[in-house]
Amino acid sequence: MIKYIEKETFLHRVNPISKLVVLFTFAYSLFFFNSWLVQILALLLVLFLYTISGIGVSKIEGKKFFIVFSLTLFIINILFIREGQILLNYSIVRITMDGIEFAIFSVTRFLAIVFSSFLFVMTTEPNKLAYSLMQSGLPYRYGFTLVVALRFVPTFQFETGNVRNAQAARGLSVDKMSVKTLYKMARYTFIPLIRSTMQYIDTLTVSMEGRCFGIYEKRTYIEEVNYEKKDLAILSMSLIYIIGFFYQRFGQNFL
Amino acid sequence: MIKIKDFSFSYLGEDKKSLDRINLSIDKGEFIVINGDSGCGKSTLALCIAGFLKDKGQSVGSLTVDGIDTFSQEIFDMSKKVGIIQQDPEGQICTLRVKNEVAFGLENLMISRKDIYEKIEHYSKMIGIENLLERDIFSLSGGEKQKVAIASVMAMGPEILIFDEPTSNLDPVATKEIFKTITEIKKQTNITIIVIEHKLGYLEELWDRIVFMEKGKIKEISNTRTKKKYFSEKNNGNGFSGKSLIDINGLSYEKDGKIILSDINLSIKEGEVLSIIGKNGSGKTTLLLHLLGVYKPSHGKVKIMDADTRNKNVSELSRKIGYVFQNPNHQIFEETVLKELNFGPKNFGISFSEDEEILKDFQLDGYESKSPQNLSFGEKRRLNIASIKACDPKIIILDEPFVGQDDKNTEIILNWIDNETKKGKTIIYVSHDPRILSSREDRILFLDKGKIVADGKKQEVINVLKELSFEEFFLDS
Amino acid sequence: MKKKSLSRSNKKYYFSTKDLVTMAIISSLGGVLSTYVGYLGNLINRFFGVPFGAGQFMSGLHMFWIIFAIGLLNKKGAGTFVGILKGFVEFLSGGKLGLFVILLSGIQGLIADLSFLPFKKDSTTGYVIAGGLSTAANVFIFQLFFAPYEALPLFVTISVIALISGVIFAGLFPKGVVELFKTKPEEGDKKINLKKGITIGIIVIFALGATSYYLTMPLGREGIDISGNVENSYVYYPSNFRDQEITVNAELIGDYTHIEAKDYSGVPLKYILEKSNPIGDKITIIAKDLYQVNFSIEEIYENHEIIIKEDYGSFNLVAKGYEGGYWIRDIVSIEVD
Repeated sequence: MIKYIEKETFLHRVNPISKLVVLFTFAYSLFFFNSWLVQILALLLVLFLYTISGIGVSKIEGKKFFIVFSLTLFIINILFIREGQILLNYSIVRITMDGIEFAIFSVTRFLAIVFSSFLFVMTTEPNKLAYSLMQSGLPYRYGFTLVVALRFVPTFQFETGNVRNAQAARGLSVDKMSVKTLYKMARYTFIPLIRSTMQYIDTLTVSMEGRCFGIYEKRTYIEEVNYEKKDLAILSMSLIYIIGFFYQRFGQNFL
Repeated sequence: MIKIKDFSFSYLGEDKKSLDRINLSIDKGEFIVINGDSGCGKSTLALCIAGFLKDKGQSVGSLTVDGIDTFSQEIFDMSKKVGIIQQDPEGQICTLRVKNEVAFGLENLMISRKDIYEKIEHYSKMIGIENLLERDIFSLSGGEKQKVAIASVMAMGPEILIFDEPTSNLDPVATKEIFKTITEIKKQTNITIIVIEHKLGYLEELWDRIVFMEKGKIKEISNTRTKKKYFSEKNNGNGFSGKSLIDINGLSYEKDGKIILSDINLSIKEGEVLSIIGKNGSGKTTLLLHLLGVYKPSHGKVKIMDADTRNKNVSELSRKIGYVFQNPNHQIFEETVLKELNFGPKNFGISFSEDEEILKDFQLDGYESKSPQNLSFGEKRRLNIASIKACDPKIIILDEPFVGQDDKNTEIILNWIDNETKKGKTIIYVSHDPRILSSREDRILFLDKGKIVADGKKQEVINVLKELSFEEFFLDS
Repeated sequence: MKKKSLSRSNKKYYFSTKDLVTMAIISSLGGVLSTYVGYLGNLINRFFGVPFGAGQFMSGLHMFWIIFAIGLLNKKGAGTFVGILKGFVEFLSGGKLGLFVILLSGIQGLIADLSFLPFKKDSTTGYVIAGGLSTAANVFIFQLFFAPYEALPLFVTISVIALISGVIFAGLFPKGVVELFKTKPEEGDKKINLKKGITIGIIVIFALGATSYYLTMPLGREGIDISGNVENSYVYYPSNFRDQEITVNAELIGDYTHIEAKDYSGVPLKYILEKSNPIGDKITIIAKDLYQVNFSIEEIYENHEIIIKEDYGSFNLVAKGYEGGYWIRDIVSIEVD
């Protein structure tokens, strides 16, 4: 599973908010470049960051998924885009330069966004992210929903395992595959989990209200999230980048 | 401090009075234990005192804390006075790190950083979690989580502290720890403490008064320390005879490079009752899941009725072994009790018609068309066992069947176990409750750190455990 | 600390603490189970022997949580809230879509909230429409950003699968579960009428199928609308003008951008205009972002080297000899005055 890896690197030390802004800016701007070359450069840049951050490309999981997904996306695009310089024309199959360019274009864009997201996750402590969001203006009552949601992730992972064992113990299995079985699997997994969830909701509400959650509009924090010079620099660079972008895109209508 | 006069309460949409003309007054600094079967209203009483049921139902009579009617107050005003620690340690923690959890309430009160750190230090020392402060919540054991919950409530500086069955999800070692913590709080502070609990043994030295409740009413208030007699003592004459159904030879199991079970040798016979005990994390559940084939041995062999589990899948093994898991909610799949009972037989494709008999055995008769959603915790538990029984396996495993069960439910389950073994079934159960082990003569297996430490008759095992100072697993006789 | 100056928030919060906790827990569970839903989807893919697509049969289960939260809390905005939060949980636990999932599930939540607006809280129709629409939206949004379903028949098939999945798993299923878990006092047994639900589902699928077919028509074939003061309004498709394509060599000199002279291939605007027999003498070229430029018919007719070039379904004007501002991108229509 992709999750936070504790290390002392530059990327780890950057304030989570700055990092999130950069990630958003990066992903967002990829949708404005219509050149496949830029997308490849972006993907290479992300992979390069893996190397210098000391995380290493090998930490990317689910390689099988990405290979299958990318190949399929690639093939579909090649087969269905029929305009442009023709490279191969054999019965109904026609491979064109445009097709290949567009195929590379959409695959690399997808991978660049996902891999940069993974890098963010592996270098950012979720707890710190949530607390930073709240200290940067997100109302804390909403911010804590993220903390609570993250808090229960391991609990529910464990419980999902339990439920699936209990299903097996009573003879429910996917040996016979059919749409009906799948419906049953979903139903018999969701309902028991929701049932135990209801108890958590009641207990947690009492526990949080019992400790004055929501009494004032603001609250204090024991750990202050610091913005260093480099964070401010990163934030302003992202901002300039985005403004420049908008100007280019909408002000002058050409790229 | 707390004055309750002719107080009755019923939840919205219910005719039944959950609390019926309660009269009780508690002085400052007093230590009160409330005891009673589940559904007797003891938790409702706790929530009423803490002011949580203001908009949740109808109240008659008066309930005041320091002369203030708790039903007229904002929950925030009450919660500065009354702190409540609930049964489930998992559900009452809302942050990801111990330090953040203890600070949570103080931060909400907008206390300055410096003051918060002082309070964290003070209370974490008192509760004994000062070395856990930097830890992630998910890496803590149940007992540690419960201590964190106590510290977080204590940090708010309440005048009254209510513990609502704080140890019912915990093993004996953790249970003892929690009661030690409560003792420590009583010693060091002058807080009024109310403990709702059915494990009275640990509390006998502490209480000033004990309140027995039944069906929403107070039955008796006493200050004597009478040793209550627990379950009817039975000698089920376990001869360890019959043919062997389960054979485990040199079983070891490793996961992520960690040894979870090592060199387990065990054989269990037809008609035998085996009770497995040990701390949380000692490998009990892993061992039992090997029998069901969910885990396969890293070394050694597990044979169920002469079949090696490595060659069988879970759905084949589960015909022979019925497994009742810990959390009742996780193993109820259908919308009515009757459908639930038929769930297993239908999946296995076996005919099943003994529903009336089974429901009667578990005192669930008349519930056929009821939704499991509306059953009590104890009834859900009995339904779990009944639904496994419906598949008619030769061996039945019960993982912590008595957790959160009151004496009445426990008695029903124990009786059923004895009846089943008479019919030649084999029952294996895991239990943390020292009262049950002490009142029975089952074969006992003690696991610690993935190894079998003791295996045999009760007295033999007790002697071994005393030597290793694990005596909290038994009551002193 | 000056505690006295603190304003105690007297106003009742829109979302109570219990609502927030409920949404947080549901998002958490939904985020965790998204892996499981993916697993079920893969089982189907394997069953049909395709790498992806058939898994859309299960995609309604991703939306289940959002609809369930709306049904349980019955508050506007709960869907969007859970959508975003669940997206965050999936993003932070290393979901296969990365950052994108926050956007995807947030928009889906918003669509679910909006689709519920016209219906009463317990209306089966509301559940079916919200579930179906918001689930099908995942295909649209994905197409919009990554274009995986480039061919129209493929796109329509996948959308219909998602729609059906949404009606069942994000419509009828959560409706039943909400009824099972509502803590409110029971008001008799109001069972969902399965027949009615399915009938509504089928009607919705047909209606949406027709609309989406209409809406997605340009997806496979983009064109430029030519209208206004002309004898013959029509839609320009480059494939009809293939033999009139020419190549020009032009240099772009903009205020900020400069592109060295290079070759561009396209159809001269002159030919495109001629086909409509314009009556007026001025044209306005309008882009997707509503940016527009004006030319006189005369200058277009005289200059063969103003061409419209197609790039992956979008149309750009190469205005040789004009300054950068006239090189308009993403043209959607041309109006003649």
